[in-house]
Amino acid sequence: MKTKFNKEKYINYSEESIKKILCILEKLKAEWDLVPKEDFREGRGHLGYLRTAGQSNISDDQYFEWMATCNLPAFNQLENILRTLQQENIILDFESFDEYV
Amino acid sequence: MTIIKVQFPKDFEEKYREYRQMFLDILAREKTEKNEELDNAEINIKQQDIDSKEENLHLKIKTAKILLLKENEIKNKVHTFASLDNSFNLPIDGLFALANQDLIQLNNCLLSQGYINEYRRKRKEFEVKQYNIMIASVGSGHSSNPKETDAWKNYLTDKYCNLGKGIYDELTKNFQIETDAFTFQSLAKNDIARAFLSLKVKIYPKRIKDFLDRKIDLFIKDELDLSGKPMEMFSDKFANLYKTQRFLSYEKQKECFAIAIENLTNEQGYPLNNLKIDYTQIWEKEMILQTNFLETALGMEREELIEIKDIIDPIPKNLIVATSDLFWKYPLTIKMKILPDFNKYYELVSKKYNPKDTLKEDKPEPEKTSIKKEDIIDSIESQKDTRNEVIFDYNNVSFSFSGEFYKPTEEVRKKLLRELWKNRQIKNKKGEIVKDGERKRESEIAVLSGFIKSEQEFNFPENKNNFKETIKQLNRIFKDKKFPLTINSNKEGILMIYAKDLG
Repeated sequence: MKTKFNKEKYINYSEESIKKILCILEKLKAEWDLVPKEDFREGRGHLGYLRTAGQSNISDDQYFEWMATCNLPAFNQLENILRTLQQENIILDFESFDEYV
Repeated sequence: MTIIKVQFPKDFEEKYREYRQMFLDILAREKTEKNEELDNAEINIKQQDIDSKEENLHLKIKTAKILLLKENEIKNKVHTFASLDNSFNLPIDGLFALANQDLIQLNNCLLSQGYINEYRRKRKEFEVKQYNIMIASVGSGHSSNPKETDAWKNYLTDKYCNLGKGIYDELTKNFQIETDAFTFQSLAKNDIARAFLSLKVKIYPKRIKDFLDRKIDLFIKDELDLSGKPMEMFSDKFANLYKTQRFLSYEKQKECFAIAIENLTNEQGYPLNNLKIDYTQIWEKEMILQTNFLETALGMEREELIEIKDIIDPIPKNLIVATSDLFWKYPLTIKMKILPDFNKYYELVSKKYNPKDTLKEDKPEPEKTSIKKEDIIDSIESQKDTRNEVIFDYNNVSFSFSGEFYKPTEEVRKKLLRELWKNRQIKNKKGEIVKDGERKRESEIAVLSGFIKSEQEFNFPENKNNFKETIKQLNRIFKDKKFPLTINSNKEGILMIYAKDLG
């Protein structure tokens, strides 16, 4: 499904917020470069686990660094930007979860 | 520990390019519109101030002031980020924030090839460390600290040295490359890259001054909201916590400031023209989150009470360490000159806090006070006179030993008497004066010079030893000057001191 970029939607956005979105987009691009493009099994036998294509886990260190470099004061801002990008189908899905739960 | 799981579509790269271009177009359009506005009309920033709360306002104010103070050293010269941060205390975020507001311009943003070498060197170090940890943990069942290694792994195992393929390829071919704004901004946060990023800062002093004046005027009226992010790390959990931060009014802060300045200058004796003051000298640790140290100083400067000469941040990196020990141990310091109007202001403050003083001043008794002062001066002078009677005259002193008379040179005479006088002579309050030609025993001299109160005390071994030490010092002096005598307190020696009454 290919959607068209809705320019008018972003015209009312402030310059700073567009810069923030762009900055996160750049970060995602860097992440995309490292993501496996096809499914593969890491490790051997039953100990190994499947890494699905195009899926990336971003650790807290990493997204804290994103937030610092992109001038995002709160985590919910990062979530908002990711949601916007999801609406534009730049990413298919994202979810945040606690590792130990 | 929260993790974000992101699922990319297969055609991510295409979409990325498309959307990136679109966003850049919007930005470019906005910028041209903005420039037109700037050209055509006056900058209507006052409206902006009221409409929206600016982010990082404290940082911007601090950066702007430092830029104004060090304008000549910074402008039109090539700097690395590390040097800007370390030698000028200029926070990088502040520079970018000011650049976004067109108060300064960052030109010639260059990244040099040394970055790649440094990155590789760090990577090798990391690999060796990882290997050592692996060897050490064999058999123990414990792996290395996963959090630390994961963070570094992500950071240091990038094929293109965290630059992206395009920039990396270009940088391997050229000694220096000019980077775009985003890469530059993100690289500026990178510890390795900071030393290899260079730029020129173009300063618009008038714009910065206008900006500062507007903000400080608002601050003086208590209309500026300076609540800032206390710690970025917690901001996801306490997203709006920092907004609840509240500050004391400007007037109250100014009073505290004035009292501290008065205390430092008049009571402790620090210079008025070169006073260095920090917040630990004004407020207590618990109060510090309710105060704006820098802004208050700037407000006082705007009211022409002081003149700020320098802002010194002992911690060069822009650490946010509010209320921690580091924050308290290495406080932000301001070097200032106290202007004459300050005294008038301090009088008002002291009246407010010491109503007794005001009562005294209300009573019209100027004559009495003046007489009192004279009395005090007289009494001081009379005290001096009595002291002079006690003290020997250095300039006219000679001494003899075992019947032989010596008139030492001026230097030695001064040294000798300094030794005697410095340590003990002041204690001699009897006012006894040695007459011309009079002979004194050691014990008598000991009494006279204030070593002991009575001659009987000379028999105490402690007193004797103390006196002997002084005599040894005298011996040393004479040895230096090659005097033809030895002073030995065991012999029946008589040290003659010829003194003259000054009174």
